This record gives sequence, C-alpha cells and structure tokens, in this order.
Amino acid sequence: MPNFDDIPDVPSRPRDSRPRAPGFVTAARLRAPPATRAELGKRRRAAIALSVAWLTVQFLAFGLRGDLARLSLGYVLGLIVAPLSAGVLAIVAAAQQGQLGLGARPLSIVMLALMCPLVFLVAGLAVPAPYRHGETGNLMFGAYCLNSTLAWALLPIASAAVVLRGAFAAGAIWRSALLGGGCGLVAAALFTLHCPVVGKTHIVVAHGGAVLVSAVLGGLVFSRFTRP
Amino acid sequence: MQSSSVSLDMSARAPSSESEATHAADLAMARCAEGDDAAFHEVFSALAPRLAAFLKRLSGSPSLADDLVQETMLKMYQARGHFTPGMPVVPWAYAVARNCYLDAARAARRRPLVLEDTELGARNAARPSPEGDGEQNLIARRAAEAVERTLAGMTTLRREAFVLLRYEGLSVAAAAQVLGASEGAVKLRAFQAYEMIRTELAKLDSR
Repeated sequence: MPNFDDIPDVPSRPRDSRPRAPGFVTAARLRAPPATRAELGKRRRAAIALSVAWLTVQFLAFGLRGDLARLSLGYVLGLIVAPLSAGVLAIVAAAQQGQLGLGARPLSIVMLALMCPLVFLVAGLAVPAPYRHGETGNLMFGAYCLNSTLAWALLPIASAAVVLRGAFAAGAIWRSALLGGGCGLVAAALFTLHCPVVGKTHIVVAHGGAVLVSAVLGGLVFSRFTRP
Repeated sequence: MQSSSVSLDMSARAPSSESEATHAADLAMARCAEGDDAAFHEVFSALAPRLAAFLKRLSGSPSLADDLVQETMLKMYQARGHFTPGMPVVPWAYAVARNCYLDAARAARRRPLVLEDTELGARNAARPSPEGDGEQNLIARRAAEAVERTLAGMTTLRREAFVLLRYEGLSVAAAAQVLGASEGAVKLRAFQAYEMIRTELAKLDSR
C-alpha cells in the first residue's frame, strides 16, 4: 500500500458561497438573458449611428435647398442651429439617469417636453423671412413637409424606444414625449435645410407640427416600450 | 375610553442595519447589471419584503402584493442593463413596483380594494403595555383598521404618496421622482391623506 501521506493535501474545493438566483432568473436565462449594461451600451451606440446614417441618407436624397446663399444668419441660427441643438439636448435630457436613476426632476421633464414644439412655433413666428417674394408654400407643400419630417424623425424615435425598452421606470410618458420631441426637432431642423419655403405659416404648421406629432407619438405610443 | 395614540409623524426607519442592507442591495444590483445573475438573489432577498409591505399597503391584498412582488422583481431583472452602478436601487424598485400595481389596478377596472389583516395594523397601533392590557390592544386594533379602511378608500395618488413618505421612509424628493410628480404635489397628496386618516381616528376617539 503506498503512503498516502506522501501525497500533498489538495485544498478542498471552496463551496460556492454565492446564493442561487431565484427561479425566474434561471428560467429567463434559458430563454434569452436580459442585456447587460455593456450590451445595452453597444446597442445605444448602434442606434445613434443608425439614426445619423438614416438622417444623412435622407438629407442627401432630398438635397440642399437652392436658396441657401440667400438665407440670413438669423434665419439659419433661429430655424436650423437652435432647433438642432435643442433637439439633441432634449434627447440627452430624456435619457439621463438623474440622481436616483429615475431621470431628471419630473417638473423639468414636463416643461422641456412642452417646450419642444414651442421652439419651432416661436422661431417660426419670430424669425423674419430672409428675402422678399420667397416661396410661401401651399397646402400640398405643407403636407409634404409634415409627412417627410415625420418620416425622418420616426426611425430615430423607434430605435431609441427599442434601445431604451424598460429604461424609464418613472415618468415614462413625459420622458418619451421629450425623446420624441427631441427627435422631431432634429428632423425638422435638418429638413429646413432642404425645404425652400420661407413662409411663416408653413414653417410653424408643417415643420413645427411635425415636432408636435413626434412628441405626442413618443409620449402616447413609445412610452409603452420605455416603461418597464 | 383612553384615546388612541397613533403617531403619524414622518419618522425615519431603523438606521444602520437597514442602510447597510440597502447599500449591499445597491452593489448587488450593480453586479447583476454587469451580468452576475446570482447577485440578483441578494437584491431579491433585500428588497422583496420591503416591496411586499409597500404593495400590501397600496393594494390592501397580501396575495396580490405577493404576485406583484414577483412581477416587479422580474421586470427589474429584465431591465438590469439600465441600472447605473452608484445609483440607489430602492427608489427604482419602488417605481417599478408602483407601475406593476397601477397596471393591475387598471386591469381590475378599479375593483374595490380587499381589506385583509396585514402587519400595517401592528405597526400603526400604539404599542400595548407589557402587561398585555386588553383594552389597549382593542384600541390599537381599531385604530389600525381605521387607518387601513381610510387608505383603501382614498385615491391612489394620495395613498401612494402617504405610504411612500410615512411607511417606506422615502424623502419627499425621492417620492416625487418615484411617482413622477412635483415635490409640491407629493406633499399636498400626503397631507390630504394624513388629514383623512386623522379625521377617521378622531371619529374613533369621539365614540
């Protein structure tokens, strides 16, 4: 019989001290484990890239407005730069976690969501036409711009709702409305780079109207996805 | 009859052990968000009793509360990737639990709440004397029942504001975030609930 003492002691395998997950965790893992933070981060970056690509392709397809050189600095700042910046800020504000992981303060979110459509309303009314006898547009123009701006905004809103599924535990409706309004502002600002109509009514109703519809769509429809 | 001495002041919960447990739950949820499934069991153990008590107070039904706790924890697990390390898990859990309750209430088309015996009565009632004074126990039980009845009869907005501030120990700011309302609105709702309960208790005293 060999001398077992010659065999060094192997430390006993430590018991797994981690408690077992509840039953549904195991079951959920068997179907499709929920995404981790890292995975969601990748999806967010992909959604942003997809949205930028979409808007770029649309813009290239529709083309730049022919009267760009005649636009005043105030017109460009008021109806393109400002809404674009406001839109991006609105999207960031909607998605931010806040101090408790429940988003920014509810009152701030509500006010920002209500302000999104107002940006185009105020800018459209306040900014004077850049030159005389410019195109003022008609009903057909209005419908065309409204539908096209909405179409431009729809993919970014939808991809945001997919990526942010279950992310808004509190204030889902207003945060989603802010998200929709933000996407609408970005789309409307970019569409203004294509649309040659300088008439105030057209800008307020068609372009601003698309922002309003985007915000309502975000709040009423996409909040069903963003709420856990 | 000696008047009930139910205290409705917004007192804080028991200190260090609970805050340590909460901090441990925050860390466990952060680990779960990174992919550690087993860490969710710690979150479950730490939060399930607290959520059960919250949902019992909202719904008035222990059995419904138990179902809603399971649903809440499942939704938290499914949304784990959205949890940011460093954030507290408790307000987030309350918000998800509240959503589950509201969905259940809508589905039930606002059926009248079922009042069942809960630990709410024991916590609300004045502590009986060590000698086990029967009259004190009776007063305490009646006061607890009055509180439960009043909570069940008030609007959801008032009830949830009151429960979060009084029983769950949340600050006004945190409760406002959970409820998606302004701090002023939360204070008002909680105060209105408090007044309703106080009125009921005063009626009890006057009998």
